Amino acid sequence: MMDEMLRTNSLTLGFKDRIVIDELDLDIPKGKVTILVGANGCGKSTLLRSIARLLKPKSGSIELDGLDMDQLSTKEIAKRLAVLPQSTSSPEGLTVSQLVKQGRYPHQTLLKQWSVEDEKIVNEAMTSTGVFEMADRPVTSLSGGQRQRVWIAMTLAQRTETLLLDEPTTFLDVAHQIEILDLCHMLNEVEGKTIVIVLHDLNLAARYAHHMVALKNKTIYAQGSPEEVVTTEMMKQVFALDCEVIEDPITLTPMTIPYSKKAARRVKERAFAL
Amino acid sequence: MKKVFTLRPQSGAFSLQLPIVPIALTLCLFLMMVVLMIVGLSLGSTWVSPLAIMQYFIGIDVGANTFIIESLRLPRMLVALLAGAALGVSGLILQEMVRNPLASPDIIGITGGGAVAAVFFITTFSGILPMSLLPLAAMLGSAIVSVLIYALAWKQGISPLRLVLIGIGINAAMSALTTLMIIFSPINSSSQAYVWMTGSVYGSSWSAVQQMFPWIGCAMILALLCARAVHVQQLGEDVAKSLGARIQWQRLGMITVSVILAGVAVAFAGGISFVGLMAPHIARFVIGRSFALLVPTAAIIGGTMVFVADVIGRTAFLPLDVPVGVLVSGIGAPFFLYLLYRNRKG
Amino acid sequence: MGERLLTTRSKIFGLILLILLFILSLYMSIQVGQQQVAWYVMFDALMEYDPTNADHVILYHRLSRAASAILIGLSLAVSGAMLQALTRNPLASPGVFGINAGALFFVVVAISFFSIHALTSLFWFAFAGALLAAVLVYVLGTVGDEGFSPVRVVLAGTAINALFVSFTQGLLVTNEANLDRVLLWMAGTVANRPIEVLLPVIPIVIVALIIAVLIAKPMDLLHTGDEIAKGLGQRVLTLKMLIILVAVMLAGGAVAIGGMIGFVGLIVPHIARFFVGHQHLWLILYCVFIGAILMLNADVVGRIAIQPREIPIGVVTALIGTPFFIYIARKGFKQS
Repeated sequence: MMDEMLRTNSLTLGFKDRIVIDELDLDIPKGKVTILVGANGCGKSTLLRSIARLLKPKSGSIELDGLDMDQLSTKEIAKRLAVLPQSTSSPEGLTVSQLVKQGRYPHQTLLKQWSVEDEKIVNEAMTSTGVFEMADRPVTSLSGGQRQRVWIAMTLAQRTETLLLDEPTTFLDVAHQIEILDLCHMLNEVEGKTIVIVLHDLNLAARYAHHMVALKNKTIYAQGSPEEVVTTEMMKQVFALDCEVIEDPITLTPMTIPYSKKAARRVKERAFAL
Repeated sequence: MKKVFTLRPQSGAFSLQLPIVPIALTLCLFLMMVVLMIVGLSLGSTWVSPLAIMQYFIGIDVGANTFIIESLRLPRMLVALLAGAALGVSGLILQEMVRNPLASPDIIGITGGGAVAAVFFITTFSGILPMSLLPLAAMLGSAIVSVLIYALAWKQGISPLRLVLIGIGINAAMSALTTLMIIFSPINSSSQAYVWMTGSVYGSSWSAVQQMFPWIGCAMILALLCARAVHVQQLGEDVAKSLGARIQWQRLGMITVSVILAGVAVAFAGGISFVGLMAPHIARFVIGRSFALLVPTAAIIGGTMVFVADVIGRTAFLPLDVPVGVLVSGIGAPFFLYLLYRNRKG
Repeated sequence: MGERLLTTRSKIFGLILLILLFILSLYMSIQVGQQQVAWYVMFDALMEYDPTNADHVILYHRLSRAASAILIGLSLAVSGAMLQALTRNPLASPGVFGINAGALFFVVVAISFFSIHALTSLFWFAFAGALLAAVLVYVLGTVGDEGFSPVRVVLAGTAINALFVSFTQGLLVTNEANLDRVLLWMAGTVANRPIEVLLPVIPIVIVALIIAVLIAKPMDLLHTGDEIAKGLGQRVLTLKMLIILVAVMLAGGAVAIGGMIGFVGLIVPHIARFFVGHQHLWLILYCVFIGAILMLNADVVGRIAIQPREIPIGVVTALIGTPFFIYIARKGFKQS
């Protein structure tokens, strides 16, 4: 039995003559939540875009379910893998339900544009993301968190086994960040989806990931369970930041507490006071 | 009342969603167009009563009026209608594809290519070759220039912005060539060329209608089939790709349809501007943003604009016959500005 | 779209190169022609103009042509850059604002109804037409609740443009006698523009350019978005009105001198942006010189290409500029 949903074979990515990812071999486990982390500009979004076939590799290949992605038609891929790109914009006046319906695109044909099944799946997608009540409102009138949930609903309507999300929590407040990641967790637990996320917040990444991948210097620096990946050494190497790593009191996952200039002063003051 | 009617027979062979209110609006527009057509056929240097026109259509002999309707007014009106409809839909497709409200066949050079060929034909071959070849020359010109624009804009695919920029560049060169030819030709052929560039359906015959109809009919159907592609591409390139849309093929398809429509319109009615730009905007004011409905609406509005302008052009300034292109923008622009003013609340 | 000249030093270097090119073009423009005139005669002509001296007359003509070409080129280029920045639409140009069409219509009215043919009077008609069109566009584009909306302004501009064009066409089609006279004006030309015609334009252009340079910095902020500009303390509405004012002053003057030269205003800003990106001070400076150089050379080509006849300058600018523009469009705008 295959354990990998997605696998890259000596994948090289870049723009013009600049190489961003070099000869990367990465396995993404099936039915797990995998989170990619790394410093700004380390190529994690580029990697995700390439896995989502939005960017053509310079060399190397990507396998989906053991099949070379190059051999699959783009529509075939769309039935197996859904992507939420980093920046999305919805056209003026488009309503929530109209947007979510577009997720059925790969399953529809010219003649079958709105089957019973389509309707059922779209409604389910809107219900599980909690946007059903806003079905007729224009997407542009919603708040950032609501909008993000609508876009996730669209990818859910695609009914794929794999879901790729590129920084889905950017510009969201902390409550909405948790809400979106809880939603991903639920989709993984209940529906057994394979989920790949690019995320900036390391503590949240450690909380929600089964498998973490830290990127540095165009390749993988470390991968494994959050406990294996999130270490003081990794923080120093990948982010060039001195940290303490402690245990998250709620989830018992690793949690990083960075040192900073201000913190250093406070520690000193504290020491004097004692 | 439910806003959407779903067409979905038991067999499951096909399924479609039909929004009710916009469809009703489109039908109203269509009826309005038919009424205007009857009025338009009545008007002219000889008044033919609307009743006689309806009688003519259901096959009752109307005597001497038959000649006026059948040989003079109807073919001219149909050419105007077809040309306007084609330009409206052509502009609609371009605006949706490049997502720029300023796109239209006359801005990105499709019309310009036709104009160069036609003016070249008029200034060089008039008197040598029969004028019936003029549409062919114009159509060829549009096609060649469109292929040129597409080829120049190709660079690992077509990006809409690059396509538009290259289009306006080529268009500028084309209009420079046209001006050059007009300036260096004798005054009678230069004024003939100028009338052509303005757009005119004077003296249109049934053979023009017969030649236009199959092209425009097929292209309209193809335009309707673009609806899914248009809607998915509105979500942005990345999302469209990840939903499995083959956007480069879709873009090629859309451009082809748009070029066929504009090319045929230009070939038989000359360089009518404004319709391709404005008919889609007016259609959007009325219908909203469902592409499948915008196609017929833009066609009806574009067609109506042109034939109404032509009726006014041939009746209001007698004995002059003012070219339709002059009146289309003369009447269309104030109407558009009024709509813009009406819709000021966002 | 990234600029090609990244550092300030390379930008200054590029500017110096442009200035040299400009001087060379100016020299060519005065030297090249059917009659050879020794260059030192120019100084004589400047010092002590003698209307009976044939060389002096030729030089005077060429110099006034060159001056028109420069004024038109730089005005249209800067005006286009302003309008593209304002609407954030790469297709915007003075033409889209209805400025050209408004000016043309007034000129045609003056010729056909008032039989005015003196260039100095036609100039004021053209300017009035340009101003009227721009005011109409601005008013119609801003009547909405949200105030100034680029899309509305652009749409109103195209409609006003179409309206004036159709009026003009109507007049021309019904009166063929005027067609020949107006056609040259429509194609754009700098032939036979005496210095007196240019004089009223020069102060307008200078004032407009000074304002343009002064608002260049705030325009950089505007480029990042209305809200950021507002947040940084810009009075966005005032700024936008100033931009329009500058654009109309420049384009109105240019159209009044040279007629419908549409291409420069649309394309020179793109060429300049290819080199210096979105810093408006540099953009304006580059537009000034690139616009002037393009027009000067187009004029020379137009004069000598098919002697003894002349190709209108508007036609030549389009023919020279297009290949260059296409090259840049292919090179500069990568897939976003």
